[in-house]
Amino acid sequence: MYRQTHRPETEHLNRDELCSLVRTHQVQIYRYLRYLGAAPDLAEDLAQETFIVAFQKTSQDEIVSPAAWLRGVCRNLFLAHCRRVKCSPVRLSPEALEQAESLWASQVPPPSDGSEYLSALRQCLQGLPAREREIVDLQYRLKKSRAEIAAAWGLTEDGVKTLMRRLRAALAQCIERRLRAQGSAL
Amino acid sequence: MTASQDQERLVHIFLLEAAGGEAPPDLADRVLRRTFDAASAPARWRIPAMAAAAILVLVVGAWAIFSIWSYPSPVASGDYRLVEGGKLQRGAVIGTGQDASLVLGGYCRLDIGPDSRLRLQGLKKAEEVYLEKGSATCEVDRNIGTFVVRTDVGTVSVTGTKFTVRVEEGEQEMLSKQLFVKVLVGTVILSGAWGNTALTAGQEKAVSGAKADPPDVMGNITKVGEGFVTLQTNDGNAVNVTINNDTKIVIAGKPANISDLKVGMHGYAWVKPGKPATKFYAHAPAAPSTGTPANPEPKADVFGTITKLVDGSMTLQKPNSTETTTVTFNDATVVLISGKTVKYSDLKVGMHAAAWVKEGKPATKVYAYVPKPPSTTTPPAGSTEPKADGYGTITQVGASSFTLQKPNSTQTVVVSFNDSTVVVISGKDAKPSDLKVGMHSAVWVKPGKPATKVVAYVPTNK
Repeated sequence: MYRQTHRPETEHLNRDELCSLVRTHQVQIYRYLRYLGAAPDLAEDLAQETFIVAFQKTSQDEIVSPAAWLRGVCRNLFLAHCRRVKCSPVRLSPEALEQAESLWASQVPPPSDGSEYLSALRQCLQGLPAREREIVDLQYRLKKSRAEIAAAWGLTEDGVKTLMRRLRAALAQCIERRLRAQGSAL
Repeated sequence: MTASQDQERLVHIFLLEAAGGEAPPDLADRVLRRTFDAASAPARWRIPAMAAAAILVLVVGAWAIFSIWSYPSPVASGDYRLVEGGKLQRGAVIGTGQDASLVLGGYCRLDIGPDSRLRLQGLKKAEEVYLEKGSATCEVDRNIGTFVVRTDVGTVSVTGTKFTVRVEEGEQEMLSKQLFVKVLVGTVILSGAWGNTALTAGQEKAVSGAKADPPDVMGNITKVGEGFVTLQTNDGNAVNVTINNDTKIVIAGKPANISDLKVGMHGYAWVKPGKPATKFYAHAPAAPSTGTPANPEPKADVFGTITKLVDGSMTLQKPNSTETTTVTFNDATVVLISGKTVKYSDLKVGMHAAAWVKEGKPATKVYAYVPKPPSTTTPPAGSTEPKADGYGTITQVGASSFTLQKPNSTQTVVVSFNDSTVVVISGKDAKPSDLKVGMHSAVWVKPGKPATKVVAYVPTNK
C-alpha cells in the first residue's frame, strides 16, 4: 500500500555516487531526449531533472537497469512538459513511445551511451559519395536551408527532402551493418 | 511516427553531433548544485536564520508572447554575481550587491533588490525562483507560463499580479519563520503546510512557518481510497500514504476526515516507511492566479484605440466603432503602459487604452498597451480567417522568397511571395522587402503557390 519515495537523507546517494551516475548516463539521456523530440535547451533541462529525480529515489541497488530506468524517467518528464506547455512532441501515445524506446534499446544497447552508434555514423559518412557528403555538410554543419541546398545543387526542395530522407535511411542501414559487424567481432 | 521515421530521427540527432557539432552537455556540476547545495542550504520549514524578503509581481495585461518560439535563456544585468559560479541557468544562485535585473523565460522580469539571493528553478514556462533572502520586483506577462516564488515558509503561485512578500525570523525563535504577503494588485495564492490562502488586492497576510517538522511527502492528491491517499509528488511519482484513525487530518487549517480529502487538493504527509501517516494536511490546489482580482477595481470608463494625442489629451476610438472620446490628463493621472508607470507623453497612437475618467474631469488612471500581433496559430475570436499554414523564424530573405525555420526545429520552409502577397509587420502594412532575418512570422500559403499573406513581428524577448 505504501511506497516511500523520500528517503532519509542518509540513504540518498552521496555526492560522488550522484556525480558518477550523472557522468555515466548524461550523454545517453541527453541524446535520448533529443531523439524523443526535445530541443537542445529543453533536453538539457530535462536531463538535469532526470538525475534530480534519480537522486530522490530509493537505493540505486533496487534499479536493475539504471539506463532504461533513467530513460523512463526522462520520457515521463518530457511528456509532462509537453502536456503542460501544450507543445506537440514527436510522440505522445504510449505505443509510439514504446516503439521509440524499443528502437533506441536495440540501436543503443546498454552500457552504450551512443558513442558506438556515433562512431559508426562517422565511418558511414566517410563512405558517402561526394555529393551526398556535401549535402550533409550543407544541412548539418552550415545549417543551410532546404531552399539553399536546392539552389546550390539544382534540385527542387522536395527533391532535397527526399534525398535527405533516403540518405538517412541509407546511413541507418550502414550503421546497423557496422554495429552488427562489431558485435560479432567481439 | 513509424519505425522508419524513428530510425530516421535517430540518425538525424546523431548527424547533428557528427556533422553539426552539437555536443551533449556536462550536467554533473549543475545537478550536484541543485541537489547537494540545495540540501545543505537551510531546509525549508526549519531554518535558523534571519531573512527579509520582498517580491513584487506585476501583471502585464494584454499581450502574450507566442509560446511556439524558441525559449529564451535567463538574462541578468546589474550588480549581481553567480554565487556558485558557472553559467546563468537553472540551478544557478544569484546574489546581488546592489540592484540587479533578471529575465526568466522571456515573460518574467525581476528587479532584484540589494543583498538578495535566489536560485533559478522550474522549467520552461513554469519558471520558479527559490528566494533565500532579499527582495525583488517582478513583472510577469500573462498567458505565457506560470511563475512561482518559493520561500522557506511557503509558496506564492501566480501568472500575473502584484504583491510583496517578506520572510522574517525572530532572533529568539530560531526555528520559526514568518511570511508576510501584501497584495497590491490582483490575487495570489499562498500555500504551505498551514493551508492555502488566496489574497486579493489590498490584503496583507502573515503566516508562521512550520517548526522543525517538515512533512515527509507532499504533492497533489490524485486518489483518495479506503484508508489511503495517493499523492503525486513534484517529481511525478505517485506515493500512497496510509491513513488510519490515528492520523490527524487537517484541511485548510481545520480538523477534517479522510472523506473530506478530495482529488486535486495539495497534501502534506508526515509519515514513516511502512507506517500510517501521523499527520496529513491538505488545502485546495494552488492554482495559478489568472491575474483577475477577486475584488477587481472598477471597470474603466472608456476604452479603445488611441487615434490622436495632443498635449494633455488623447482621443480613443471605441472598438468596432467610429465613435471617439477625448480624455484629458493632468499631473495626477496615473499612466501605465503594459503595467509600468510612465508619463502620458509615452502614450502612442495605435496603442489600446482604458481610462478611468469622470465626465468633465481629467482621467485618474490610464492603462495602455501595444496591441498584440495577430496570432500565428489562432485567428482572432470571431474571425473567419483560417489559421496560418506555417510559422517560424525568418532565417533568410530573398528577392521573391524567404526561409522560415520552424520553432524548436532545424526544419525550414521556403515561402515565395509576389506582388499580391499581403505583408503585415507588427500590425502595419508593409512590403516583402521589409521582412528581416530574425523576425517571427506566420504565413498563409498553399503548396507551390506564393503566400497570400505574411504576418511578422520582431521578437521582443530574444
